[in-house]
Amino acid sequence: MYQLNWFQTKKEEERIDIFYHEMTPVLRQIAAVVKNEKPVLTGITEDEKELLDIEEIYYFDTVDRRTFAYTRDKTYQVSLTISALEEKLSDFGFIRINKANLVNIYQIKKIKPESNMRISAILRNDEKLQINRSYKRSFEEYLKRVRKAL
Amino acid sequence: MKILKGVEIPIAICVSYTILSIVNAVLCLINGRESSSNVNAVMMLFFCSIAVLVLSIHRLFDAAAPVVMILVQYVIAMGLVFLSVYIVSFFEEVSKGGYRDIFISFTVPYFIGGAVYYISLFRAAKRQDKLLQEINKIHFDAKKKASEDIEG
Repeated sequence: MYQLNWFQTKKEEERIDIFYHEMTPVLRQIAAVVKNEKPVLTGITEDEKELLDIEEIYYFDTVDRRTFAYTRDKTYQVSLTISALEEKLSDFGFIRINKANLVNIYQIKKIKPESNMRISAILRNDEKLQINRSYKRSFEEYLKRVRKAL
Repeated sequence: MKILKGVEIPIAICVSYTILSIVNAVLCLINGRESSSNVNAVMMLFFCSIAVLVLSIHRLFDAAAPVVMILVQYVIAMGLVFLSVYIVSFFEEVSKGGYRDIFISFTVPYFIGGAVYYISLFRAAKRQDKLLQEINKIHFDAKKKASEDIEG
């Protein structure tokens, strides 16, 4: 948990100082917001283009070499590949859980083992995604890293 | 030479013991000292190799449910074991009940391994869920606090 201090200055100067012991994904996110470098994604629906708020994206899916972003109730096509998105959004809570899906961990409600020996991620909109065996370890390592950094 | 630590030490003992035992059994067989323990040692190495090779192809079944993967791997491995015993039966007599014995010797440890995997999977899911709940609590509490600070 970070300590948040607010100082009102008399000069016409607005600045943000960051004191840190270790550079973490959360600090990189803060820096990206301050420097206006927060990743921007454009989503395409049938008739329009929209700027997407990455926090609102539940997961990305690849179908026939096309990538789609899923929010609570809408689907958008995005121009980046799932690997490019994985690299771009790893500091923002996104982790690969199988060959086709990149999930936002802040939109996962529960991790559940299934009777057929699979592990599922239940999202906040009650959709279910499979965490494949090959990605199980990296998923857990990612959760540990995020937990440690908070 | 690399310095061995922790779990590497028992693994190194197992590997060197296996190599010595197999080399000894093979040398005895070559020199005409054909005892049942020497033949068994070589056969056990062969069966272990089948089991390890079949288990190592699990990535081919990544899209299938683990329970399907375990059963498919079991059928392939058991088939290869029976085939090898069948081939050996042309050169050496297989004892009465030999097929049943090899079935039990292979099936019991295989399904014990399957059960261990099943338990480890449940524990991993529980561990991951606990981490996730902690992350979500901290994340959403911090977000709430930040918006209160800004509004305040």
